[in-house]
Amino acid sequence: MKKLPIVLGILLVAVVSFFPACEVENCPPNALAYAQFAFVDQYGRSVQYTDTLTVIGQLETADTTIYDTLINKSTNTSTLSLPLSYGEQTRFILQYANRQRDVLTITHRNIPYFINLDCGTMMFYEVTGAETTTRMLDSLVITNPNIDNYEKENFKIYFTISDTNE
Amino acid sequence: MLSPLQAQKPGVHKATPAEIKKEDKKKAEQTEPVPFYQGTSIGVEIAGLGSYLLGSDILNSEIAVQANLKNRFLPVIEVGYGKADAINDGNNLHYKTSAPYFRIGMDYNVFYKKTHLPGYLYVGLRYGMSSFSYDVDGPSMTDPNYGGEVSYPFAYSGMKSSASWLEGVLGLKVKIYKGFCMGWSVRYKMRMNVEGHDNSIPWYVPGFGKNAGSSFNLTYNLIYNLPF
Repeated sequence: MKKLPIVLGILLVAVVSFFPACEVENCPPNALAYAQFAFVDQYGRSVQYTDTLTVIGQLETADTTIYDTLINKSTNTSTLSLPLSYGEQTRFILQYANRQRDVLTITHRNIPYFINLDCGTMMFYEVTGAETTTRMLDSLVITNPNIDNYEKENFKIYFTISDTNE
Repeated sequence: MLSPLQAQKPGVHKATPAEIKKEDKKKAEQTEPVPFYQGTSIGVEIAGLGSYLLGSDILNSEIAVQANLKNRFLPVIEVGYGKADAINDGNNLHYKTSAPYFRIGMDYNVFYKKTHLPGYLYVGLRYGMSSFSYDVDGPSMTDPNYGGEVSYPFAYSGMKSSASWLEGVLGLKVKIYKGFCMGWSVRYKMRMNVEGHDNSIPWYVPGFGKNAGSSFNLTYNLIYNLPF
């Protein structure tokens, strides 16, 4: 019984030195917070844009306008996952196959966010406004203004689909 | 091969005397009343101090004052100090906090009848709380898209937060010399609440550890039984 404290002391040192080795870091799977758009028809049903669609992001700074091709000629598109800029306003130019264009203008508040020391920082956003041109699409609705790494739908893009054309 | 008869026999014979012995013991204990108050001990946690001296970014130490009631119920108050000043070399993020924390709870001596042993095993519960403020800073965040034109400085200091949690304790306390004892315990901590901010959540919570749903912790205490 007298040796018990010594044995336990050694055991403790062994366990303590082993412990940091089995720490698991649970970093979020997505390192970037994207704005999630869903295409729907006038009845709210999910629709696909079958033809080619290109999306260009546009940021206007004090002295320049920056264009960034985010999606190049994708087909069968029913959702879009697009990065907002670190500016206060981001435009997304949707180029359809028939050379028509729609421009979505999103204003947002940027929220630099510290996740933890090991997983680092991320930019989250709060959408404060959304406008759109209506050449091909009907309207743009904010369904969830908080853009974080949970991949929830943030916007619905409404298209009018006439039954005869389908 | 044992026949069922052989197997049953010894059991039948033993059953009656064993029960009588137990009753005798109970009677003996009832005649000797156990004093309600059996003293107070004061302990210092040194494993946290040790790992800090070995180069950890985290310092955690506490003092525990524990009363002994009927050698069975051991209410305890723990007052500690937690400090973290860490930089991740990979992403250059820096997190800093230091604050006291408090825990209140009780241990239950599983060996309360076995007073002849040099130590005892106990299980316990704690409620912990801390109110602290933290600083977090790192390199500026640069837009990964749109040509990297815009960047945001990243530094938030004096963020106030509070936390509360529950702990389940399994431990051992052993006498070493006169009134001095040593104690080891394993603690499973369950986060109840950690207050976050718009731009951050605490990474390290004094008294709880790294901010997660739960955490494991080992403690090593030097304890002195006060002579009153």
